[in-house]
Amino acid sequence: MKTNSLRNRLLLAAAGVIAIALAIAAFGLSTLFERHVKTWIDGELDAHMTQLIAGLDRAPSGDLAVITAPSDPRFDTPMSGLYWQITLDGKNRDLRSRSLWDFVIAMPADPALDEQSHHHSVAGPDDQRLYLMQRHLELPPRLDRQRAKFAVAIDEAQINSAVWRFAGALAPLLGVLGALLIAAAWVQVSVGLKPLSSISSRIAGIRTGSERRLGDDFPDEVQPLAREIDTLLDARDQQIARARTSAADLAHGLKTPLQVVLGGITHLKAKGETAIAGDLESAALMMQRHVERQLARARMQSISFASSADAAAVARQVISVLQRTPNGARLAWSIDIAPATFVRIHADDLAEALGGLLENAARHAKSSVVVNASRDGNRMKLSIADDGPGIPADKIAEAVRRGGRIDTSGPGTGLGLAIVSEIVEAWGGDLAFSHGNGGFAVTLTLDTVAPR
Amino acid sequence: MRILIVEDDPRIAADISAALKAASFVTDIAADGEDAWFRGDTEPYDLIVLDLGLPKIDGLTVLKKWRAAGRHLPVLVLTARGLWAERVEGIDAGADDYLVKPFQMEELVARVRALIRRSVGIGSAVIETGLIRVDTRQMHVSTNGVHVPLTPLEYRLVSFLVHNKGRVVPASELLEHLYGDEDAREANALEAAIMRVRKKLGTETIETRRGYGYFVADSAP
Repeated sequence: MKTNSLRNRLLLAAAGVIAIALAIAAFGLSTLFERHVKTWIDGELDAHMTQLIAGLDRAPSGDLAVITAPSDPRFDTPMSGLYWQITLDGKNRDLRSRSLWDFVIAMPADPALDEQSHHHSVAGPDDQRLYLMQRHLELPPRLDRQRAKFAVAIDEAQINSAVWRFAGALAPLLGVLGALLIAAAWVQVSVGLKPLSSISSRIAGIRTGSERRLGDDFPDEVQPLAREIDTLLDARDQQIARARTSAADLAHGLKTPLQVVLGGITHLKAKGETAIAGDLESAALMMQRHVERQLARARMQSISFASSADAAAVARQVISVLQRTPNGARLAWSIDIAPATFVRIHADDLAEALGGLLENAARHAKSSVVVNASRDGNRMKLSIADDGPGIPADKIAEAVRRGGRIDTSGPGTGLGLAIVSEIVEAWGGDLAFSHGNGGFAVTLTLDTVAPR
Repeated sequence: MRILIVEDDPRIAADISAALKAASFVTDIAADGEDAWFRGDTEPYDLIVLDLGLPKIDGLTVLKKWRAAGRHLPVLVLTARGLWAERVEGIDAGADDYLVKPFQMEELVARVRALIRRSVGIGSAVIETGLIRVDTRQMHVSTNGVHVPLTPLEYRLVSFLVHNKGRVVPASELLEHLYGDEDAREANALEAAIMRVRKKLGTETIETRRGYGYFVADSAP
């Protein structure tokens, strides 16, 4: 059993307390029962004692004898467990029940002549331990005022066995009670811990993007925890939003001067300074690459896990933009993605990835670009196929490599595929390239998210 | 063809203006969102080049205000961020195309030409009427397969009329689209230019509809 489980610890504690409580109950009930049995036996012994005292009289021989013995038949059965004995003071003679046979009880010395019953535990016949009731009294004048000790005794084993029988009957009842209490404790612990497991499943939902916040439907004791976690998530989202905004400001701050530099280069070319212009142009291009790369990296560092994007909607939006461009306007676009196909990625990042891939496709396609989605377990495969010339297999790795470019004729820094593949990897997805539809096909695989 | 350039960086604005002027466009520059909104709403531009990061009112808001006011002229958006989410937002706000900074001026000019053609429903970079053929990329005008050299003002005149072929263009509209804010607009100079063009291309290329304006036929009669 795992001891660092809260449930196990609570159940262990409950079981311990229940066991102790049941042990105390068993001991208490047995003690009460024993006391009750002794009270009852005392009554019995007292009755026998009264009969015994009344039965002592002078025999025709003149000696003292028990004329009418107590009526219980056990007094006549040897070693039956029920005995009486009368010891006359100063005389070396005892009167005993037949059940004692040849055993003589060693009568305890009761100094007082108080006619009260005293209880003792003494050795009896047949290794028995006897519960003995004794009275020390003076006989009436008719019997010469002799002093005598009267004793009636019962085998303690008989009392004990009654107590044991009681305890034996009690045990199953206590067992059932214990089982019920432990079941109740288990239910209590389960109900009590349920909000914790629901918090953990909600947090898992937030991580995978199917939930945004924990919300308010928790018990009072757990609500502060949920609220704190939600506050933390809010703070994180704000941080991410700030990071994205500052990346945007950085983009503006860096790219605007670059535009000015490009303008200057054009002026230089116009003046015939082609060598300087060429050097500056390659430096500007390198700067542009670095800027693009750092901006992409800044975006990657601000990934919020509570993200999901509707692939169909984003693809449609990106295509609506591309249809405005000269390359995109001439193509037939077809999208086959079920509505509300949610994938685990920030919508902006999905737009960035699909934008890069679809722009590539638009640049190379002859007449059409096909976008479709297929579900593979909890992964979604988005594939983009064009009917262009395709890329030779040995050039594909080159295309994905940072800054690698296959087609150097058009504008661009060559970061497109490398950035797309970084974005997709940052979200735990992957990119695969193949030849399909006669042209180039890219398959983008991402985790699916249950719609909110 | 008259173009409004909305760009807060004066050096970039000047570069764009120079590139468009070299391509025979007439340009005005607005340096902030308020000025851009006012000019775009009151002046008859054929296209607007709009930077999104602007002082006073941001570019996207200006664009939305134009569209809300029923101004349907083509708008080419310039953006420094270049995020696809932003491009989508721009297109949703009513932009017709976008260009990400830093860009090459050749690319900008090509996009501007394509947008203007698209706005008047012409698909090709080469526009033909029955009598003349205008290559908007090379700024060549030819008749019967022979290249005819024209001055910049003459080319702008022919290009505007050809883009609006089949429609009577009033002289006042021609003046507004052929000259910028700073240029002196002289009806006499326009008249003289039309005469020169008729002499070079043939009198029947530009018809005069008395009291209405000028007309270039869509196809040969």
